[in-house]
Amino acid sequence: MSETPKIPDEHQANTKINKTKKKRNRNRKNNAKASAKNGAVEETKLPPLSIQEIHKAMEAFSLQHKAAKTPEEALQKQYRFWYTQPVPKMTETILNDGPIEEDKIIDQIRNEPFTLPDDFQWDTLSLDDPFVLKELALQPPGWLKEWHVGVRVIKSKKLVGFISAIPALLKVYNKSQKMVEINFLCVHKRLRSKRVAPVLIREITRRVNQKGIFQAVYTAGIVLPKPIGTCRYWHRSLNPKKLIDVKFSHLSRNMTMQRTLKLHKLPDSTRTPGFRKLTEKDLPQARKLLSNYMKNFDLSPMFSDEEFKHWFLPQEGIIDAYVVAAYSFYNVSTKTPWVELMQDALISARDANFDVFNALDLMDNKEFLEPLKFGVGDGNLQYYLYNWKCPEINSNKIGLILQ
Amino acid sequence: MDFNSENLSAQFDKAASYISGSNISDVDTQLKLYGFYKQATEGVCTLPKPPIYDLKGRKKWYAWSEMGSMSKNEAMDSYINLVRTINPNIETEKTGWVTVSTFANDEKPLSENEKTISDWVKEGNLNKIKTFIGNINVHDCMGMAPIHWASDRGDLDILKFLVENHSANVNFQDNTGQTALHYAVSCGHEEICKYLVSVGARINIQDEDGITALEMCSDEKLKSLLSIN
Repeated sequence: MSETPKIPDEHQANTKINKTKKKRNRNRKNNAKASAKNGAVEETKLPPLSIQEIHKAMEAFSLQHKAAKTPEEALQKQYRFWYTQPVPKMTETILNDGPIEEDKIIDQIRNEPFTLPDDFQWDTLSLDDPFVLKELALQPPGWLKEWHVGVRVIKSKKLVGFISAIPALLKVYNKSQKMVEINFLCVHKRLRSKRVAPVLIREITRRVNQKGIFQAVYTAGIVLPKPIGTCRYWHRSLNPKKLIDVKFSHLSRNMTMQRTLKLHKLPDSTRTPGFRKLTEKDLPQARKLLSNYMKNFDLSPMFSDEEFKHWFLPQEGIIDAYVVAAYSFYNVSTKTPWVELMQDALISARDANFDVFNALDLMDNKEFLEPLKFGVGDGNLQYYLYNWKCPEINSNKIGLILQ
Repeated sequence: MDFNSENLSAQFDKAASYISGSNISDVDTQLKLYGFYKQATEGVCTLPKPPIYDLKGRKKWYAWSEMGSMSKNEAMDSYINLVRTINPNIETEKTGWVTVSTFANDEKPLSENEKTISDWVKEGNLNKIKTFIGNINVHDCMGMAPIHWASDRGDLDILKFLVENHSANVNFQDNTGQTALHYAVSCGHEEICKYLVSVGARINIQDEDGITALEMCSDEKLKSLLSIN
């Protein structure tokens, strides 16, 4: 549910694809010119288009090519790739739950990797480098090297694409299902709109299928066919001045920096008695507490002892798990009121020099977002299942957080 | 290309695509944009001056030539800054399938003729401030004067301009009794504090709660900075 990334002083590089359409205006100009010419001829073959009609047509055209941010925009899109996959159509209403297509037998699964464009090659990444965050996220119990899929330029060996899968047991409504979590899909800027992402997705699907798994869970900021749930991002400023400087945040017209700083000031130290970091000894009890709490949700992970230890035992700089038992991604509160507990989490995050504390409006998070001066974000996070359909899940019934 | 210049050129592309789709009616702005754009994409102007009857061509040629030996990166930077004064939101407009959520901004931007000098100060628009005629030591609808906003926002260039060219009173109080120094201190703007004190800001003016700028200061470094002067 929440993570506390540091905002770098410079705008962070985005390694993923970022498409813009520039042609729109040029085309509009040309169209306008063409119809002006036609006007000079006495009899025109085609009825002249009004500016509004041209505008409408251009809008529809651009919608088809822009990533959809809302379900309405998604209805305009063709999804050339996604509609070849076992996922529900945008217009489908789903009443019962289960797989969309049957498990494949091994003979039905392609043996060799999918073909990449010339000059590119597949590579599995060796994570022995000091990429600690990735190690943590990519090497939970049961991880496989061949599920860390990279694409390199043959000549320069430069890494230009990546996708990963990790195994997980998920509960969706009342059924538990072995799946993978798909994450870290990245495509280099220069390869944008070269249809590389679909190849990466097909390839990871093939490799996961080969191990006898046919379902996956993944999240995205954009709308694809078809979300099982939609969560909204919320942000809590810990360092408002810097966030405004880097344009992560803004001052509204009549707001002063002075008032903003005062508003976001947190107490000097944590308040909940017994608020402390999680230790190895706490693990069995903490796991029980969490798994009990998770019963409240329609989508949640089912952690084994080993997995729980991997995800929850603090590691300097990455995971900060706190007993009583707040943690920047799963929070359970029984005795301590939510607001008080999460305020302590904010204080800890500030003391660890984080600039912003992010959260989604899932689980019981709505209890503390507004009271603790979180501000609503401009981004959604959509949840998806691959080859599994189920009725839509409200954000407060989602109990799964991907890294 | 290193990371920074890649970032710069991405911003430049974004700004340029915004401009290509908009209607700039102001000829001076058009020419400025043209000059920066040519310098940023082609470098120093080496074309011969167009003949005297080609008025438009000559104007464009001058706009470009005036850039002199400015570097491409510098020109990109100036171009982006100029576009920002036309639409401050171009960077935050999001496209593509990778999005990072930031704070939502539902506020409708003001049109240029609705803006007051306070708004220009808040958005850091020095060019507009230069066109201001009138008394600068008056309260706006928020009960603050331009000097308070400049100090609150930590904008040293604008603050200096207000003080040195518009005779802004550095000890002017807003309607809660705060001075520019109160704002600078409570926001931790060190440079602003230094400057204000150097041009005669007093540290012991009380606001309506009886608090002085010096008393507001919790940062020891800033405190000693105030007391020295």
